[in-house]
Amino acid sequence: MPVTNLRQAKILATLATLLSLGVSSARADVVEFKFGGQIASDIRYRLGGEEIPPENSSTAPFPSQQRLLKYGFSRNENLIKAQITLTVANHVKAVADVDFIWYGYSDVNDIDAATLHEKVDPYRLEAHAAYIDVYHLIPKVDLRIGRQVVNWGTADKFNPTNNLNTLDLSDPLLFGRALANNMIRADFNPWRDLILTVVWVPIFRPAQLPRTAPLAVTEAQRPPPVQEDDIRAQLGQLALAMPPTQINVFTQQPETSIENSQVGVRFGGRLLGQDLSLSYYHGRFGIPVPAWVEQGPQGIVNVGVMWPKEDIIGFDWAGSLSKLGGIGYWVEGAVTFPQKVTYGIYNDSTSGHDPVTFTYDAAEKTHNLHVGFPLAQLPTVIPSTPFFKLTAGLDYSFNKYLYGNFQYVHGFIDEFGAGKALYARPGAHIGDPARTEARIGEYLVVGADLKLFNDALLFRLFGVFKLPEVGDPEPKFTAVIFPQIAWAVWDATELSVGAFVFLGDRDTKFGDPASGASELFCKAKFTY
Amino acid sequence: MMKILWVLGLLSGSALAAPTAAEILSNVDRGLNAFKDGTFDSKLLVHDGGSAREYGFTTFQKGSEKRLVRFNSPGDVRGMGVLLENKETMYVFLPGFQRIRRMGMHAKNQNFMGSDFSYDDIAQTAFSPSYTAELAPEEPSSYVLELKVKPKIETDFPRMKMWVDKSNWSPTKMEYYDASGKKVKTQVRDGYHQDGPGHFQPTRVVVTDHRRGDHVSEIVFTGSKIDSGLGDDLFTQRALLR
Repeated sequence: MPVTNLRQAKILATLATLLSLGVSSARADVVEFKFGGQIASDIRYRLGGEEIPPENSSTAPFPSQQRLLKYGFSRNENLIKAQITLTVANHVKAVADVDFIWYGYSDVNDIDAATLHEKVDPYRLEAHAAYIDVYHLIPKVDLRIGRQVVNWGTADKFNPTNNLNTLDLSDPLLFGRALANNMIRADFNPWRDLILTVVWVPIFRPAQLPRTAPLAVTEAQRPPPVQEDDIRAQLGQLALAMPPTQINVFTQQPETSIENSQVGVRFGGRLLGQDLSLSYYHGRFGIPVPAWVEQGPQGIVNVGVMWPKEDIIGFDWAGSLSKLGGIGYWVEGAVTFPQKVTYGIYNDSTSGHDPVTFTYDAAEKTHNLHVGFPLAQLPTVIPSTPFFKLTAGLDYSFNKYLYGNFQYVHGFIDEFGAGKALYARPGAHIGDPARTEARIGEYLVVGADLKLFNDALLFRLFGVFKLPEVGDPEPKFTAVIFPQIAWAVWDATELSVGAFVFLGDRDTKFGDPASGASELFCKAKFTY
Repeated sequence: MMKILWVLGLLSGSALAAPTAAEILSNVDRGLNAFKDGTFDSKLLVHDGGSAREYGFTTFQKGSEKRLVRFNSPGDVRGMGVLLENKETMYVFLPGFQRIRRMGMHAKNQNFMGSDFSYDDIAQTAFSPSYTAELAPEEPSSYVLELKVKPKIETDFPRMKMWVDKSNWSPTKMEYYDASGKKVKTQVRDGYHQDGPGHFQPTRVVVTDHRRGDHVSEIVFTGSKIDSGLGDDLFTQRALLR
C-alpha cells in the first residue's frame, strides 16, 4: 500500500474511531436499563379425572414422572423470570421477558438417563416478550416489532375480539393467558384516544393445549366428530365392527407461507365518554379440530387435526355509569366466518386407501355410505355457517373491601363453529349415541374479591356456570369454581392457596375429562 | 399575569383586608394548580404495626384533571399505570397482561394500593367546584375553613375542615367527616417548599383513617419538576401501553 494511502487510511480509521466513540457515548447517556423478574414455586395436587397418558400407553412426550394420576401431584414447578427493559430517551424501548421453568419431575427411563442433568431435572424456557418499540416513527405512529402479545377487547378474560395471539390453555389458573408471538404492530394515534392499530403476524402459533386435551380425540368411545346425525351413527357402527386398538393423532400445521399469515385491524376511540372500537381479524383458530381419519389394519387408527381459518368482525364498548355509583360495564361481540372443515375418512384396513364418502338420499332423508367413491359428500366437522360470540359484564366496588364482577358469556374461549358439541355419555361404549348440546354455549361468570388488612389478604371466589340450553330434554349442571386465598406477606411477596374445581358429569362441558380435573394449589412468588 | 395574581393573593393573605372563606378556598385551589404540568416522584408508605409497605411511583399531571401514575416499585407493581383523563374516565395498565382496562369510576371507592388514600384523594386538585366554605375561628398562622359539599355532588365526605397556611395558601391539615358528622379521616401536609412560580409542594402527606383504628399511610415526595412541557400525548392510552 502506498504511504499516502496508508496515512489516509490511518486518519480515516482514527476519525471513525472517534466518531464511533462519540456516537456511542452520546447514546449511552440516554440509555435507561431496568431489570426485574420473579422467583416462584407452584405445587398442585390432582383430585380425580383421567390418568394421562393411559397406563397402557407406551410413549409419553413429556417427563415420565409427569404422568397425571387420578390422585397425585400434577405440577411441581419452580420458575425464575427475568425481565429486561432498555429505553433510549422517549424514542426506543427494547423489552425481553423470559421464564426459566423446572418441571420438578425426573425423566429417568434408563440408567443412562440417570446420568444426564436434563433428564434428572428437566426444564423449559418460555419467552413472553422480545420486542422493540419505536415511538414517533413518523408523527403520531408507534411501531412494535418482535415477540409480543396484542390484547384486544374490553371484557374480562372472555374476549371474542381477541384473536391475534392464541391462548395458553395448559394452566386453568391462567384463564387463557395469551401466548406471545412474533408480529409487527403499528399504532396510529391521530387525535386524543382515537387509535388505528394494524397488526401483521407472519407465522401462526397454535394454542398451548392442556395435558388432558388429547383425550378429546384418543378415547374410542367418543362419538365421531361429525355433525350429521345419521352419518355419525353409521361411523359409530363401523367403529364397533372394527374397534380401535390404538389411536394416533397427527397434526397438519399451516405452511409458513404468506397466505397463512394473520392480520388484524382495530379502530377505537371514545364517544360521549364511552370507549368504542371495531375490529377485523383474518387468521386461524388456535385449537385444532379433527379433519381426517384412517382406519388401518389391526385396529390402528390415525386421526389428523388441523387449525381452521377464520375471519372475525368484532366490536367492543365499555364505560362507567356515573348515575349507578360508577358501575363499570362492557359489551364485546364478534361474528366469526369459519373455514368449513370436513372429515376425510379412509379405509386402509385392507389393501388400499379407499375414501369413505356419502351421498344424500332426499327421499329417505338419510346418507348412504360409499367406499372408494371420492366425489361424494364428506361429513361436516365445522360448517361454514357464521357464528356469534358475546360477552357482557358489570363490575362494582361495594366499598374498599369488596369487589364484584358479573359476566354473561355466549361462546366460551374454546368453542368454535355453529352446530352441536358432542359428548360420550358416562359409561358409553363405541357406537353409542352422543349427548349433544349447542356448540356455542351460554355461561354466567360470577366473582368477588374480599380484600382485608390494607389489601394484604385477598379472598377470591369465582365461578363459571353453564346455563341449560332452551329445550334441552336432559339439562345437566356443570361449572367451575375457583376459591383462592392470597396473602401479600411483605413487599412483592405473595403466598396463595386455593382450588380449581370442575363440576359435572363427563358428558358436560366442564365434567369432560378432556377439559381437565380438579386441583388444589399452593403457590409462592417473589417479584423483584 | 398569573404571577401578579399570585402576589396579590399573597398580599391579600398577609397585609390587606381579611379574605373571605370563598377567597381563601379559591387561593388554595389556585396554589394547588399553579402549574401547567408537573412531574412528582413519590413514595407511598402503608404502615402496618411497626413496619411499612412501600410503593414508589411517579405522577405526571397536566392541568387539573389529566394524571398518569406510573409505579416503579416494588417488583409486583412495576410498570403498572393508572391514567385519569378526567373525573369520569380512568384506565389501568397491567404489564403482566399487556392489557389496558377501562375502570368504572366505582374504583374510586377502593383504597389507593391498599393505603388510606382513596383515588379521590389522589385525584382531587380543587375544592371550590365541590365545596362551599365558611370561616371558622382562625389560628395564629392558619385560616380555618368549614367546607360543605355543594348540592348534586357525590362524595363520601359531605363536610370537611381545612387549615390553610396564611403565608402561602397551602392546606396543612384537613379533617373529613361522613354524613353522620363523624370524623373519619385526617390528612396532614407538611414540609412545604416552593418548586415553581406560585407552587408550593409538600414533602409529606400523612393520612390517618379513624375508621380503621387510626391506621396511617403517608406519601413522601422525593422530587418534583414543574412546567417542563409535558405533551398531551403522554395522557393517552397509547402512552399508557409504553
